[in-house]
Amino acid sequence: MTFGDIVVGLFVAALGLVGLVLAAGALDQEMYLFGLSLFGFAVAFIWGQMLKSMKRAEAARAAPARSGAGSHG
Amino acid sequence: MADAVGLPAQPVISYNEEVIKKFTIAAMFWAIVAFSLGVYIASELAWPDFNFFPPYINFGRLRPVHTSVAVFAFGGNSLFAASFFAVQRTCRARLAGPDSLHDFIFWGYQFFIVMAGISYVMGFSRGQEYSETEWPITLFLVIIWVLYAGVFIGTLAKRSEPHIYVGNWFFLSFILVVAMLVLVNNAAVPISPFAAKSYVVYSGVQNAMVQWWYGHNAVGFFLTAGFLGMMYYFVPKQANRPIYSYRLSIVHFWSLIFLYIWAGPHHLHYTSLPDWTQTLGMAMSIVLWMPSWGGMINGLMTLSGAWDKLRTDPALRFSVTAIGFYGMSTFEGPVMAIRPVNALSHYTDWTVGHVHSGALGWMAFISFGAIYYMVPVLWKRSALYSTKLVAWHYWVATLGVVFYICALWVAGIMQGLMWRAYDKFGFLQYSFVESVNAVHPYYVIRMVGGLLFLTGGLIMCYNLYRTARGPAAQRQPAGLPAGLAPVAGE
Repeated sequence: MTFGDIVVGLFVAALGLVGLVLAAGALDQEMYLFGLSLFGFAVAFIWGQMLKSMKRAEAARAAPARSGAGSHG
Repeated sequence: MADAVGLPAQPVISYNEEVIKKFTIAAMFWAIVAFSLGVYIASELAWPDFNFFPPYINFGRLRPVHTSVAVFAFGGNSLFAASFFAVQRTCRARLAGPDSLHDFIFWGYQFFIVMAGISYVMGFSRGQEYSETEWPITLFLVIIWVLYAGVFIGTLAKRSEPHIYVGNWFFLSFILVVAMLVLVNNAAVPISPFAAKSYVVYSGVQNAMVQWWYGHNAVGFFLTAGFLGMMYYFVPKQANRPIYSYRLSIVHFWSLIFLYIWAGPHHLHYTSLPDWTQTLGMAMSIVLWMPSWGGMINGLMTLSGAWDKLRTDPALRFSVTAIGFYGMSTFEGPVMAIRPVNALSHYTDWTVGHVHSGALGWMAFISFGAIYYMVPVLWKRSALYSTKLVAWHYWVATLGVVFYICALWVAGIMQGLMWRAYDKFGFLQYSFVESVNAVHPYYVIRMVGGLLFLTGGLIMCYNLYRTARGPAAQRQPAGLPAGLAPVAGE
């Protein structure tokens, strides 16, 4: 995970919070739906990025292990 | 270090192709949604009984969903994919910023489209054509667009090629001008920070003028400049020829950029807009014909010495036919902008036919050509699954466009003539409903044309799915490597 990924994650998290605030104070149906959807989008996006990052880290850990096994074989 | 012919060895650059793949898949998905919605609302016009379902799917609500999905979802995703594909290769640089930022641009743009569609279906709209979203959704789009501009400009800034290829100039103008148009046309005061409803800051005829300054330049910079960028990258690649005239590309770029911005008032002939403004819009629209045809001539002449490829590469056929349609609709547009012609054509289905000759014949066809080129490259395949299916798609879609635009030419001119016909006593010869009855057969033909275009889109999706998923053994080129001209640096 790079510094840039963390900045993007924090930015999207802030957008999600804005979405919750908008939904909480919504005066009409459209704003309510938009706010809640924005929050849901932020959660889903950050979740996806975390999964991707973990998969990348796992692959990086597995790669040297595989190459090490090969050299002993 | 130098290679065998004495050229310095180039470092291998890893491009971000994952995000381009996502935009390509999204473009195809939204294309099918847009075409299906088009067929449905065309059926609603031909058989009004289709409107008597829940209000969510009546013509008034589905029409902006159809236009937004066609232009911003299908066209927009195609442009994102093509611009990211071209800018990385022509600059020999990976996209600027972290991959998570590119992912956010992708998913954020899809979120914008879904939210816009849901709000229209629910009945929320600003009532301004092609700009119907209320302020929170528009503001979210602005965030996405600024990030997109940042990534594109950042990639240009860190390029390892000294020259900025002309295709990137077109993409850049598309990105910057669309940002300006959206910001100006959406200037509004919300009734509360917690309410989606807002009021436009302009009133009366000023609002109409700003709206059509936006509307016409959405055509000029989203549907023209952006797709010209696509043409300038993919047509030379597909034809394996250099651009016919690089100088012409620069001249027509700057003249197009300068002239398009003035043409909006031709949408407001015979209204309360001052007469001189209407005349200015008409004159600029006619002048615009030349730079538009500069692009068409440059695109077609790039095929010089490679016309034979049209026999064997149906993907290239899409691109070349698109350029033909571009030339045709950019001739028809200035003609329709002439005030006496507009007196006949305005408010009739001729306008709808004109828009679709551009949207289907130009925008969709040039996108199809680019997507057929990109998919084997992105998925690392040596060829498309089936060249024959590309040819089927081409003919079915072309037939669909021809059905569509011919039917609406006839319907539109007939409507215009019926509305202005007087009898010997000076009364209108036809009631409005008689003109509605008269165009019914043409509305049915239009729906059939749309259905053919949708069928072509489904054939394409199947072909691309099999290309991406098919086993490697079946991916050998079968003598007709559609869309796979040699690509430098790939």
